[in-house]
Formats: sequence, structure tokens, C-alpha cells
Amino acid sequence: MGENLNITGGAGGLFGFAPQDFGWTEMDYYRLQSQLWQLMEKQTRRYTSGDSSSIPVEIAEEIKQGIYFCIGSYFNANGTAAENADALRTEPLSDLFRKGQQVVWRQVEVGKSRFGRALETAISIKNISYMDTLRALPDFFKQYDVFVMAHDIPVMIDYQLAVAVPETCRGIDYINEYLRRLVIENVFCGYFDAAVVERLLRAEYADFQLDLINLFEPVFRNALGLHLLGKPVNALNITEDDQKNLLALFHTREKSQIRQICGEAFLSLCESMHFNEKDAADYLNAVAMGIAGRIAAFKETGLRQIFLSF
Amino acid sequence: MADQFALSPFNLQKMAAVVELRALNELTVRFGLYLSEEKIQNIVEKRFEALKDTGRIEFGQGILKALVYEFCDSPYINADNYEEILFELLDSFYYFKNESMDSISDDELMQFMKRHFDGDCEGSVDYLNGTSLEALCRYAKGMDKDDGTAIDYEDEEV
Repeated sequence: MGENLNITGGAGGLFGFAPQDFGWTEMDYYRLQSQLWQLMEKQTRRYTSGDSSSIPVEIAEEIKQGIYFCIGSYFNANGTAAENADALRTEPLSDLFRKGQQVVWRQVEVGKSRFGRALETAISIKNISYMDTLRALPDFFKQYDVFVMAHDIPVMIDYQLAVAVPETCRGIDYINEYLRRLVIENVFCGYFDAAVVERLLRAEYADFQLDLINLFEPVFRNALGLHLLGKPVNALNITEDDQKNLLALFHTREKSQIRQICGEAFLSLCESMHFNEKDAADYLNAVAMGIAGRIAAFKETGLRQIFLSF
Repeated sequence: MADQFALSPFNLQKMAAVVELRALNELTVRFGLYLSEEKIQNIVEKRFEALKDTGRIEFGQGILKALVYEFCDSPYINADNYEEILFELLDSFYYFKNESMDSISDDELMQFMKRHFDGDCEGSVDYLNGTSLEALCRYAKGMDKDDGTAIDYEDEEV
């Protein structure tokens, strides 16, 4: 950590803005540094239960990140960059931290609600990492330390989403976004017969029950392929004729055209399925763009690894 | 005005530690122990050096005051070796906080060090480091006995 707590984090700042862009003086930085030091002292005492006056630098860094996360959460939920820069200058840091913790607590409640939804909509396919993750997530809410380490994720999340949550997401923000995407995937898969999904997964993976895989993406992929051909999607199977037709559809297209086709197709697919999951469009578009990228890469050699026959 | 901006929290901590040690002279002088201004400055610098060497940081008062308070009545500390012993104790203290993975509180570690420094170690910090403190940290890392109960190292032969 060095002899100076680097509180402003350089360009862009750690709070979503750069204080130097808002006319901060040297005295402002000094004041903030002093307040952060005092808050670190208080948080250290809390972390060690008053048993230790000193802590390893690595732990101090984690405690600092916890403070930043809470204050950042408050700023993300309130005010413009200019207003937040002003608040950072004029309001006691401990007050901003406390307000941030309240924002984080509210997000924890959102997370619990989303987890409940994830359980309600859970895919019935037996996959070890999927089931282990659902079992582990309640531990997150038990172990999550809003008081000192709000930036931390104190559980292992094994199950891979079709599009991973960015690693810049931390703490409860990561969990909430993870659960949001998981629910979207769960609900989509819920439209299909579990036995059909299992046959599809067997065509994709050596051992879909044990492998660290995403259960939703192959389903979405095949549904997208069938929809592009104007066929019912329930059976999920891409026949030999379907393979030829899909290849013909994409073979001569440029990458940008493939992206456009896939982008439009997932929207109309969701409409035809009456898939109404709130705020799903962005996520499903990201999944569709991933598929488009693979189609563009393999359109010369064949699309059998993308659209599965079983 | 410009000088104020040069006062980082570290410098403020140093100033506070100097004031603290000056005040402690009033207590320790009863045991024949007194730190000159130069020695006070040396010890304060040593504290930060020991923290840096062990990769640790203190935000509050730190252990200097408690360390002086705990050891000032030791029969093995006199005016000649007072500064040197404090240097060594600071090094030991932070080193063994790390070695014990912070599983031992400041008070417990300091009391343990004092008891053995005055006892079987007969005023040798080297001996204290190599024997009692090493054994203490082994217990701290081992944590539990075979029957699953926690080791009370106060009761154990160290």
C-alpha cells in the first residue's frame, strides 16, 4: 500500500469519475486521504475484532477495496459524476461509506429474490457443476461480509454461463448479474422437453452430467438454427437437410451479415416462443453474437459442430 | 500552509508515536529506563521499518506503547540495552504475528513474549525467537489437537 493510500486510482477513478476533472485542490486530496486512513483504522479494528493493531498489507488492500466498493455502489445509485465528486469532497467519507453499505444491503435483498427465482426455474437436467452452484449460492448470502469485505465473493461459482459476467463486477453486483443471466437461461430451457434437451446435450458433450459446461447455449443455438429455417423449434434436432440449408444460408455471407441475421433471428425466436423474460434481450443478443462469430469462423468447413444433429 | 500538505497519515502517526513515547518516559523512569529524543526517533523509525519488513501496516496507535508498558519492569532490561531490546522485540512481534497467521491477538502474543523473555529465555530475544515463539506458532498453525478441541497454548509446554 505504500506510504500514501492511493485513493483516487488515476484516470477514471475508483468511483466512476476522476476527481481531477472536477477542480479538486491538493487540500481536498489531503482531507480525503486523512478520512480514508481513519476509516481504514475503524475497519481494521472491526476485521480483527480489536485483537490486532496491525494487519498484513494484502488484507489492508482488501479492506480498502471493500470501502471503495460500498462508496462506489452509493455513487452508482445516486447522482451525476459532478454531484458525486462534490459529495466526496464535502461529505464525511464515513457517511458515504455507510450510505454505500445500505445500497449494498438492498442489493443483497435483490440477490436473494433472484436466487429464489433461479431455484423456481432451475433446469431439471442433472449436471454436477450446475447443481453444486445452486447448492453453494445460499452460502454466499450467509458468508457475504457487507461490513468489511463487500467487494468479495466468498463462494466458488463453478457453473459457466453462456456469456460470463465481466470480472470487473464484484461482490453482490457479480452475484446479482450472474443470477439474472442464470434465470434467463433457465427460463429459456424450460420451454423445451427435458428428455429432448438431454439428447441434444449428449450430442454435444462427452459427459454432460460431469463436464463443466453450459446447458443453455446448445439449446439456444439449435433453436436459433431451426427458427432461421422457419421450422418448429420444440424438437431441437437439426436434420441432415437442415444442416445443408443452414450452410447454404450462411456460406456466402460476410461476418457482419451473419451477425445481423442472428441478431434479428433471436428477437423473432423469442417473440414466437412468447419468451417474455424481463431485460433478457441484451443478454440473448450477446449469446447470439457469440454464435454468429462461430458461424462466421466455420462456414467454410461446415456447421455441424454448431447446429447439432441427434 | 504548504507544510500541512506534507503531513501524510504516516507522518502524523510518527508524530503521535513520538509524543506517546515521551509520555511513557514518566512511567519507565521508575524502572531506570529513559529514552532520549534521539532514541525515541530511532524507535519510531524502527517500528515503521519493522512493519515494512514484515509486510504489515498499522492504522491506529500501534503496539509501541503496549510493548513498552509490558516490558518496562523486566529484570533483563536496563538503561544500556533498553533501546536495543525494544528494536528486537518490535521485529519479533511483527514477525511472529505473520508466522502465527494473525491467529494470536496482540495482547496474547505480547504477554507470552514477556513471560518467556523473563523466564526461560533469561532476557535473550534470540532465544525467545528460536524456542518459545517458534513453538507457539507451530501450535497456532496446527490449531487443533487430535480430539478436535482447540489447543490452549497457555497450558501446553512451550
